[in-house]
Amino acid sequence: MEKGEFYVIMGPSGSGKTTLLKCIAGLLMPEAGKIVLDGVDITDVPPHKRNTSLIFQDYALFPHMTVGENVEFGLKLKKLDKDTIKSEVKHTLGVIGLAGFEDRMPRELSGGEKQRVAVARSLVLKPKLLLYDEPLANLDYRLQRKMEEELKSIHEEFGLTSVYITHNQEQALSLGDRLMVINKGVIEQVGNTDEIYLGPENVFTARFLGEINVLNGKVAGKEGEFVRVATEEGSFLGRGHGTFEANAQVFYCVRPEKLRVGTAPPRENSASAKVVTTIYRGTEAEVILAFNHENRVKYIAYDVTPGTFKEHEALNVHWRPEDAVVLSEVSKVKDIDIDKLIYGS
Amino acid sequence: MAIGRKLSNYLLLSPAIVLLGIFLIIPLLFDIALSFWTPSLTGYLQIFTWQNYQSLGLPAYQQAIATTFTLSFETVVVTLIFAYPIAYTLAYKVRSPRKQTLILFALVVPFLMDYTTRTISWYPILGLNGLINALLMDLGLTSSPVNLLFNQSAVIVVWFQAYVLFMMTPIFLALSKINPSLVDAARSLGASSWTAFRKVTLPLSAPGMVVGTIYVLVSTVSDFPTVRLFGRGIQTVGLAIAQQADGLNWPFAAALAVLVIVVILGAFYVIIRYVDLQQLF
Repeated sequence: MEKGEFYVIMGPSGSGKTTLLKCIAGLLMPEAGKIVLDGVDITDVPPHKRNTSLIFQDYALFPHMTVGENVEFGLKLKKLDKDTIKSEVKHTLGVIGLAGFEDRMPRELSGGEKQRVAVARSLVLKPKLLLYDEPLANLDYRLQRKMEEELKSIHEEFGLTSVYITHNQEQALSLGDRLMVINKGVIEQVGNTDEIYLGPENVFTARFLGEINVLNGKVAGKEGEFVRVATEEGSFLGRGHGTFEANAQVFYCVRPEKLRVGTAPPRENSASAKVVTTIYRGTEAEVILAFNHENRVKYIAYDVTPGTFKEHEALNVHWRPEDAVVLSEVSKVKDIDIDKLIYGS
Repeated sequence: MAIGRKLSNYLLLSPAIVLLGIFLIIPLLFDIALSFWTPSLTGYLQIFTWQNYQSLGLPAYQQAIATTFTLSFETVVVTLIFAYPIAYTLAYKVRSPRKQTLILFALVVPFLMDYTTRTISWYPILGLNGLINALLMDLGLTSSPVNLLFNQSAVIVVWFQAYVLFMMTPIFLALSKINPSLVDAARSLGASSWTAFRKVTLPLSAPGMVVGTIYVLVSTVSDFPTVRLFGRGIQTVGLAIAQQADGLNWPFAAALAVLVIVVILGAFYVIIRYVDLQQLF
């Protein structure tokens, strides 16, 4: 990790995200390995001497203290003088949008306000490492989106190196500078957020981070920088990492927003399909299409009016070779049920 | 509809209200009235007097009042010191709920025995020829038996055994209700494990300690058989009430009882003002 970075660790539940974060905070002892902060091995340093601060999913506000007392908790332990503490608390509560809340009790606050206090309580200490444990998971969707923006601007203002864990792909994409995808304690992929989104290294990462259409196929050859894959629905070109042996079993993946529909079929990567159903989501619509051999794909259409896509309507679908990825690996972990990991059981 | 629901609430409560009324409120009111009546050879005469309350000022009774509350207070402190670590261990160190239940059950086993049997059993343990003295002499720590019975310490030991569970259980409940993330949060904000305990766990378990204290206080102040059996020569208010009632001086016994009730209620008032008992429920 680099200084000042917003680092997101993402994985399904049970993947070891929280365990990893608690190890960094010193609340759990790793069985093996080292934790190094600023060049110093802190593996055996107790949590209160680490200069890291953890923000909890369930807020963990001290219920017997006021908001002010909660926020000044860490500063008081640092034995700072009263005036400094008071002005720091006031400033931080102002930044977080809770000016004047000092004397409220946690039970009088809404979920979003509680989480703001929890953030302020850690922020005020200006730790070397700010650790977020799914802080927005208990908030409703709209508030999550708003808090994402706020956390991002707080990160820009304070410049604190942050680790943020989540199983929510939207938060991972919108907040993270860099992203680590983990699964059952194994790192699936690490990289810049957009790099991982556009260039997943295996099917697990591709499907976990956003939606993607996957077709099974076999390698039919290499054409310049692209790999040709023979699928049930035709033979298509896509980007492929590494070497591919002829006839090897591979997965041909395209993001739904990269598909295009139109009447004039281009030279490459096109197939005819029928509309199965349409799900309107306001700004966009998800259109489920079925190819000739009944493989279904999802297409995202923007700015549509109801009735644009009629059921059973025949369409021509095409996409650019550089927008498709050819993957040979399902996951770094053997024998997993991806659907179960992504959607829960 | 609201009225209907209110009415049904009262209907549900009515057996308890009737029971409390007949067996608690009415006797209590009678007790207060009785304390202002004049003693007579056959019990009391319904003639108003301050005499009973004036008698409370006699040195012998002042002494009894002081002894009663000192003994009860000491018992509260001793049970608290022993019960807290047990409750803490049970709540945080014993992880499996099965084991927790098993240990709680083991702690309740002595209470399956009758009070008298359980209490009298202390004689062969604390007596001159008892278990402890035999052990002390065998170890050569003392040449002649030590007198362990019939003093204030003996009373406290017996009370401790009888009431420690009533202190432990509410503390255990209070500790079990504390969100474990809170201690982690305190640690992560720079508190050592001791500071985290002092600033988070201890204040949040206060309601449990208060409820335990109330149980032990009320039980010990009124427990005169134990004082009679183990504190030969020690006079407490409970014992004095029993003696006065036996001697048919009911009005004075009533005045002593009113005094105890007032002191205990006063203590409750102070405690409840400073501790939020709702945290426990």
